[in-house]
Amino acid sequence: MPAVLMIPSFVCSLGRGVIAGVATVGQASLFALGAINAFFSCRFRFEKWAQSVVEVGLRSTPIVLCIGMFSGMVLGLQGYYTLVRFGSEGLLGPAVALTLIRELGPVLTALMVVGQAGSAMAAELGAQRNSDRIDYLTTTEVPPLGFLVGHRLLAAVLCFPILTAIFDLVGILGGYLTGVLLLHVDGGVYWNKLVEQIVWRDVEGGFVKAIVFGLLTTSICTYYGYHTHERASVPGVRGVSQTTTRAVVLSSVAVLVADYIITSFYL
Amino acid sequence: MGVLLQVQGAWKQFDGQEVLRGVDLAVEEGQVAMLLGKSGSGKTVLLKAIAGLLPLDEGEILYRGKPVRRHVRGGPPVSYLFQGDALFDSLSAWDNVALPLREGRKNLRQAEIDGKVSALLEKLDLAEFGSKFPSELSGGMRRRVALARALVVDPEMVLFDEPTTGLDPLRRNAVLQLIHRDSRRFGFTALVVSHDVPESLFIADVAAILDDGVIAVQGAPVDLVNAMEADSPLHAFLHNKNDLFARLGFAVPEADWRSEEASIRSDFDAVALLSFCEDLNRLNLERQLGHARHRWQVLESVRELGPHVSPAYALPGHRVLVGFKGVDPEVASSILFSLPGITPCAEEEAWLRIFIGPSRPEMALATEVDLLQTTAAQCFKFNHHARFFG
Repeated sequence: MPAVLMIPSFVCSLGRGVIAGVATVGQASLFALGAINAFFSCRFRFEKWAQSVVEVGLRSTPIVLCIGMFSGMVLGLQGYYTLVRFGSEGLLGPAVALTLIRELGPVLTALMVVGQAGSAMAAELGAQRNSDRIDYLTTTEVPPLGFLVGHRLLAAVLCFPILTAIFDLVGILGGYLTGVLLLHVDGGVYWNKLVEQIVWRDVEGGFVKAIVFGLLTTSICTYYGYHTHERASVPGVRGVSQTTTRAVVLSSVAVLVADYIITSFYL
Repeated sequence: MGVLLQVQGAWKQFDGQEVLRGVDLAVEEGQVAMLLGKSGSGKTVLLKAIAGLLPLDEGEILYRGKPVRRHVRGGPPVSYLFQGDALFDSLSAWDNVALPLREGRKNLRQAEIDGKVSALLEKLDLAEFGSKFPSELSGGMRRRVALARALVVDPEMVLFDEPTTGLDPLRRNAVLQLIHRDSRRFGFTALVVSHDVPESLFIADVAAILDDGVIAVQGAPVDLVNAMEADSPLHAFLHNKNDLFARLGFAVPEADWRSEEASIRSDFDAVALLSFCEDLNRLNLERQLGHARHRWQVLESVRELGPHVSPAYALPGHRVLVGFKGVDPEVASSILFSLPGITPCAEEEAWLRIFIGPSRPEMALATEVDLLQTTAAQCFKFNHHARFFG
């Protein structure tokens, strides 16, 4: 078939994919709203929420620390060798900090937490769907969405900004290690310029992104896990692995798309 | 007793394949109703539709005459016992049972929840396992925990989805016994989906066979068997009526009994049917030995063969007809003959099978005196009762 004739079908497929993606995000959003609403009719809300904070936040902290440190160190190296060409190595501190606070911090943190906690949520809910536990809850007076999903979403609202802040701080420290200790940029200049250049709006933008990413990724991951019987093309364990993979991929894409949209509003 | 649940013309299809094609079913209050059918015949689909988990394409489900479309909070008090138990791995047995009370909307006080859960665990012999997690429990225990969780909300009806699937013969018997006994004890109506025929028929007040998307036959088990024709769906499970009679332990025709009676009476001093599951055993006895039990002493269960049992049941030198469910004479013989004071007597096996009934390995019964796995219909002479009775 000539390539020109394949264009319409490609466009159709692309359109279908985009519509399906948007529809999924919409369904996941409604699902999340329903879950948060149901959560407030649950009992022992604080215990459930606190447990999810531990699962999402505490367990993701080591990987966030690690990735944050190395990201900052790499930014320190790359930033130094770029800035030094213009004789502006004194701006290394703000360069590292702004990059982290406005962009890399929220995005990389979200991607890390999706890999660490989002996949676990999708897999756990998928397994619970497969083993009839969600159906069991449906037959009782326990609201399944509130019992299984709501507290995770609300935990994400708290944990994503905190993890992002940790990522940013550790990353700035990493930039300090490479820039000041390794490449001998003046330490006072590094911190002074950093404090001078960073304004509240930068920090605010990072936190807004973190909260949006948290809600978005957790909604997608829990939605896919909860509906694994509908979203997977195969049943059973393979279906769970399939929906988990899809949830992580779609969450990652959604993070980048949302990042662009939020950034365009904040600039 | 009125009709509690009624299914009218239930239709359901998946991807163009019709699973239910106009199912009509009625379950009366207080009954143990058995829904039988081959794997993939739509039993679970029907059960999920009744529970409100699956919407029907057509038809109606009425609970106490009111339609049930999907599960809603505050809907009919129906519990569902899932095939895989559906227990939460991260919760202990106690917490699993307490879950619907703690998280439900009744806002019970902790003391009430504790009392209710503890009482139920006690009744189901799970009191000492409350702190265990599901992964630390055996299959039978998990099933009991799931049953406790289903019963803790005081349901009017419990739906059992293949409760015996994947269990070994002893556990299978124990679960069936549980359903039979507890439906009376806790006063719930049971709808049990199974493809274990004839075991499940032992406990059924009414049975229906789902075949090709419709209820092929429905009625009391004994009526189903009596009405069984060559083309009956029961043939999918059992080969012939006599076999079914023997397996189910339904009343042996009176004429046959009369002919056997004289020889049994002359040959034996007592009749024993050894069973792990007392209720099943008793049911079995009532059905098989109904009129005979008044003529001979009957030892109903090995569990009862303790010191409290009067030795009058079987004295030294008595010849006792002993039935063990199952068909493994070698195992039974090797174990029984190793017990002191038990010796085999005449070859009476042929009519013992009729007399005692079920002779399938699946119906193997256990005892607490090393008779575990004995599965033969044999006859033995008890010439030293003291040892045997402890």
